[in-house]
Amino acid sequence: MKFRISRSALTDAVSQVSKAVSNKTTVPILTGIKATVDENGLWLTGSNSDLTIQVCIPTRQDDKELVKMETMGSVVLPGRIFSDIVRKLPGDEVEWVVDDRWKTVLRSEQAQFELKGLDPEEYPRLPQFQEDQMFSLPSDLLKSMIRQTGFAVSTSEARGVLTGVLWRMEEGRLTFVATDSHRLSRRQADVEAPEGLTVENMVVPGKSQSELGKILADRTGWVDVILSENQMMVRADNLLFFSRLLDGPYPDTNRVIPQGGKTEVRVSTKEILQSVDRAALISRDGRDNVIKWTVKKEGVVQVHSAAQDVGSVLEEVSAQVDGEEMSLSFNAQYMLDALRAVDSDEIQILLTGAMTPFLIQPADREDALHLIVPIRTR
Amino acid sequence: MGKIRLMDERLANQIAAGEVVERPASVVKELVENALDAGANQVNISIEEGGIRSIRVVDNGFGMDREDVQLAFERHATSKIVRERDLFSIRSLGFRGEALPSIASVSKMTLISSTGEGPATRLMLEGGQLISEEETARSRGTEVLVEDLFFNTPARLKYLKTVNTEVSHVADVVGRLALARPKISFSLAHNGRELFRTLGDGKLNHVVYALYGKQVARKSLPFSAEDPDFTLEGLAVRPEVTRSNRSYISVIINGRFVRSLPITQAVLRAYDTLLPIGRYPIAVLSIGMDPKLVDVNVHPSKLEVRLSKEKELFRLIEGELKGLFQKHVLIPDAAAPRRERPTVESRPVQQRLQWDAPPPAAKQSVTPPPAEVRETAAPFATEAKSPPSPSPRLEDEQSHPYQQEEASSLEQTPSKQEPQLSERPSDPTEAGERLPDLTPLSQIHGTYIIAQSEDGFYIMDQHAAHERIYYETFYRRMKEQDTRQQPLLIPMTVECTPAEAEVIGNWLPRLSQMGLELEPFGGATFLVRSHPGWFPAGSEEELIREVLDWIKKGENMDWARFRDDGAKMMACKAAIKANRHLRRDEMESLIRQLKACESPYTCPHGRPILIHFSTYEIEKMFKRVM
Repeated sequence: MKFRISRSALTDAVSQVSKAVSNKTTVPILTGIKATVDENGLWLTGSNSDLTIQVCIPTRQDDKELVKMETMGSVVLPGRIFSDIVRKLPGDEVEWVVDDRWKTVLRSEQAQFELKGLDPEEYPRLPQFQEDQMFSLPSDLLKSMIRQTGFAVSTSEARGVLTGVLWRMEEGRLTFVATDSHRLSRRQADVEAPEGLTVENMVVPGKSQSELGKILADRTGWVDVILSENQMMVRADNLLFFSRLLDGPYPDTNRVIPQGGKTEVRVSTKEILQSVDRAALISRDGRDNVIKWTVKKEGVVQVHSAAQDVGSVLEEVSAQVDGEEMSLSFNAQYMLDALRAVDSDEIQILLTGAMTPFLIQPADREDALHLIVPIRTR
Repeated sequence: MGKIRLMDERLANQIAAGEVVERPASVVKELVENALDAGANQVNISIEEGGIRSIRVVDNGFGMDREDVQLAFERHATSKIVRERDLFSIRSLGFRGEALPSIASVSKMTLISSTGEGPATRLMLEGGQLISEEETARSRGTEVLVEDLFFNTPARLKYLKTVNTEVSHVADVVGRLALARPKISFSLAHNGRELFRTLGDGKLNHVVYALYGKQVARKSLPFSAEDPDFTLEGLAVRPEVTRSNRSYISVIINGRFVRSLPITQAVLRAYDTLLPIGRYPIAVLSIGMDPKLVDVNVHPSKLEVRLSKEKELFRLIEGELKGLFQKHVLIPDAAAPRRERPTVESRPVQQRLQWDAPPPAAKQSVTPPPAEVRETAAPFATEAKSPPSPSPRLEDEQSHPYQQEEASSLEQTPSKQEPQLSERPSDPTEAGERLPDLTPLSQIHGTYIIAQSEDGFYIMDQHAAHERIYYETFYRRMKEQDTRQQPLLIPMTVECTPAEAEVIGNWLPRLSQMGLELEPFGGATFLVRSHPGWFPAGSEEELIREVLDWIKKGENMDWARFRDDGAKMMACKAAIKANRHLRRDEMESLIRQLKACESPYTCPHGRPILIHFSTYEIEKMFKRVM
């Protein structure tokens, strides 16, 4: 295995696959990055217990030659040290030579590293997919769907399927649902899918999904999502992203989402967000991070919080209120998460009672909603 | 003139009693030791109101004739030492000749003794003064009744604790004597209720059963060892059973219960990481040695001893116990004690084929692809590809639930061989078979791995397991790196008192040999110039201060101990945590690595790694067997 490669392209690719390389694992070879070079370019692979990221550096891109391959081959190099080395090499180009004992020499200008490589055959193989269960959507859309739901998953492995986000596909409409049973977020969008494709219960681990969001950050264009029994793959330009799927049926969340409410509040997203953020300065010192809203007919939402040993805060935000007056308490963090996920200038809040879940929606669209379960206070 | 007089004897005895007779328990101890020295094989003790109202000790020993009985109450009268040189080869428990007159001087005592020939003698004393002496009838042996202890020394009476405390002290004393003499049958009763009774059949395990209960007795592992100077015998209870203090480590030297901190330490070092922090084991060590090697005449209570050849003894104990734990599978069982079926003598044992586990690094076999594309279970895939290992071994099949002995049946079968109560038939496993063959099934709550084997299923704590693996790796690595030194750019300053500085000053050359370079910096201050390279990053200062603390306290510096602490810290940080999903290949890899560990049963802090649920227990839970 011998080739020369552009260092900047290599640095980019290594930092992307490094996201999947874990330092703590019980399978030592998974702390490594696998590299495979052939006439199409260099493929780098990183993998951990949840996901696998594979990035390709093509031989040519935009009329620039990135990889000059002399002989094909494959090797696994220790992940952390390899990525550090690549980042710090002096030249614009790296010469990369691996002998048959996987001893690897990396040379750039006057610097030469010799690394002990590992047998690539011991590296876990990638799952195989059939392309019949596939749909496509713009990368930007996928990113915003991820951003608007991912925060609501449970972080305790003991909650099983709730540590993931449900991806449901029906009649060309993709729905993301995430909940930790205290709050729920849902986002829907129309995507490009073959006729009749229905996906009922695909649950993507929350961690995988947030990594996916990060790795797509700078990418535009379309991505393909391909499914199998217990794995999913996202394919973009020069990128393959694999994740395991969670076992078990996702609970039916449609029933817990209220249809309408007794009180409807319209308020500026920015104003209410900032006011809750301020109130949270007091509430975060309390035990449950509780904030109280009192909705008044004359068109204000009172935001109030008090912590026994700290003090209290009271603020009024003007709003358009239809229906009964009402007051309710909730966890400030849940509200902040939800409000930050809203892109619209104005939100609509639907309240039914102090003890019943309430809805937050962008005022101008129907495809996103956030639900928060109030805190019972005495 | 005339100011200094010889004390009258009663007064002298009362003063001596201050040392010997502290509380009812010390009376019991002295009387029982006399009984043992008289060759009794049965000693019955009954006390009332914690021994304050009365203590009665009845034995079947040699007894005394009339003259001896009278003489026994003279101070320094003893049958146990005749010549001066006897003092240096003491085999009897008592020898100072102080006990009986001392006790008599602070109580109302009745003594009946018979040699089995002629009439027995009954003596009654009050406060050390003879009240009456008469002939009576009694079979061979001696009976001592002590009533109203401390009736004439109110100060001491006042300092007695509650009845319960005194009873527990007495039970403690008798328990120790029973452990020291398994061949003698003891019974102890309080206010007419029997507290315990040992069989006197010579089996230490049965004594443990009587004192600590069935559970402990069943989980005890017998051991014995010998070297030119010492014989060692005893029981070590599996580390899963622990106590909150070290008083359950009983040390017996030449049949005498003693307290020896260094021996206790040797035992603790052997248990090492098998015990959780702040927990102590149950163990009984009976050490035999030439009486010349031990000096018991340190204190009247004879609890403390001084030993010659201490180091050899500690090494023998530590080595023997470590070896013992290496030989046994130390996985605790989940369920409470179960009823086993009685053992059938010399049960036929089905042999079976045994093949080696696949070598962990076999190239073609362990390519663990993500769950879905893998072929069936790994071991079989391996079998298909690589030829089976050359010669399958034949192995005795373990059938453990049934080989166990019902503890309560021990009275009927006292003739059976030693490890009757031991939990699993102590299967001294061969190296490399310290864990059963475990196949991981799944993970629960991102924290525990469920694995099965032929004899049931196991729950494994993933963090504990990984921690153990790293701990052993780091420990080995540190040993290799022993010689590296890390100089400090900005030296650390350590201040201490002048006395401590003196001690540390003497240590400087030795410390620098070990890589810790200190430099006197005037007064009682030292500069740390460099430390051993293996001190884990971020914990250097902590470790250095700990090292110096040890030296200051004047304790012997145990360098390995610090390496150990360092390895523990690093292992805990490096290991995977709870609440983390594991793929199947990760679980398999974890189990494979754990199998290669020297002590795969507890994490370095002593928490268990595996809990076993036997097939039999599962069957019982589902009432498949009743």
